[in-house]
Amino acid sequence: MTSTEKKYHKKEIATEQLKTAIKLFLNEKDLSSVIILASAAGSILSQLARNAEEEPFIDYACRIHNHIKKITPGREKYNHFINIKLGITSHKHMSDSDPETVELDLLRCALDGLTIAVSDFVTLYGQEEPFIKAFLHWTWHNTNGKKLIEEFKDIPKNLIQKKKKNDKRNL
Amino acid sequence: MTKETYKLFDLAANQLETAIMLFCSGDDKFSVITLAGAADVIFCQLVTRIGQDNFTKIISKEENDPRSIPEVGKDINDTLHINALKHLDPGEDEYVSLDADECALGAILKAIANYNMLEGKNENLINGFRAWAQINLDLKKYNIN
Repeated sequence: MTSTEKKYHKKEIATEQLKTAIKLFLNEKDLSSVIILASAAGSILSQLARNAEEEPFIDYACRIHNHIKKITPGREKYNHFINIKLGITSHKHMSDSDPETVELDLLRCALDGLTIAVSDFVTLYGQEEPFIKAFLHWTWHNTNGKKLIEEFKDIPKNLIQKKKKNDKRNL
Repeated sequence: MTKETYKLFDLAANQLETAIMLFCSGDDKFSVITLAGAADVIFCQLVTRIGQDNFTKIISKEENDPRSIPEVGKDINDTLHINALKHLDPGEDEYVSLDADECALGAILKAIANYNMLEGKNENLINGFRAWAQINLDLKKYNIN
């Protein structure tokens, strides 16, 4: 480590990137940047959740897939599928044979990418940080939060995301 | 919310512009590195497609590096900690040591080097960074015109 290097925990790195992504999103800045930053933060938070023996979003998504389709997809394979659907892959990979254009709903991709990263952040650290509250507030008002909560009440208990440590913080 | 068709070049240019905006305003350097790094992946491929040597290949040739281009590219990216800021593998150390300012500057310079080789570039995109560099950097050391 050189004299100008500092040691950072990955929590700090993921938090800063997620905070920046939400700031860009709420200020209607570049959505491609939101997608990339939410993906980077989400990737780290997912593993941190697993390290903390919490259930990361991807594992929850696999359980939901199993409930609907009666088959559990491989975690890596399903994560790859989600990354393609959310435009993450086409934003940071380009092989020799890839086309130079892509068809995307950037707003939908940015919103869904942020939702995944925020989900893992809340699982780990709760929802009291102002930038998390700001995002949740935005989604409540812009994605019909009341209706979603009503639908959520009817979900079988075994399909609610498992939380071991932070139940009280997330109430 | 509707689907539209985008050029990857434009999506990458927007990311580089955001990275420069964050950098010049003294904002989150981790995001600068991630954004410039992601944009550069697209620029590298587009430079190769027009038959030119990208930044990594130029460095490899100048240094007579015997390694493959992907190996040199990975080495550069690891030096800039681009991968460490977007991944955490099972069993990997949860801490990383880096000079965030220096890595952010390096990631932007590398992306600009490739961006500048491409047709359709917008000079205005890098003007802010150029102005910042003239005030804050040794231009000869960093090879900036």
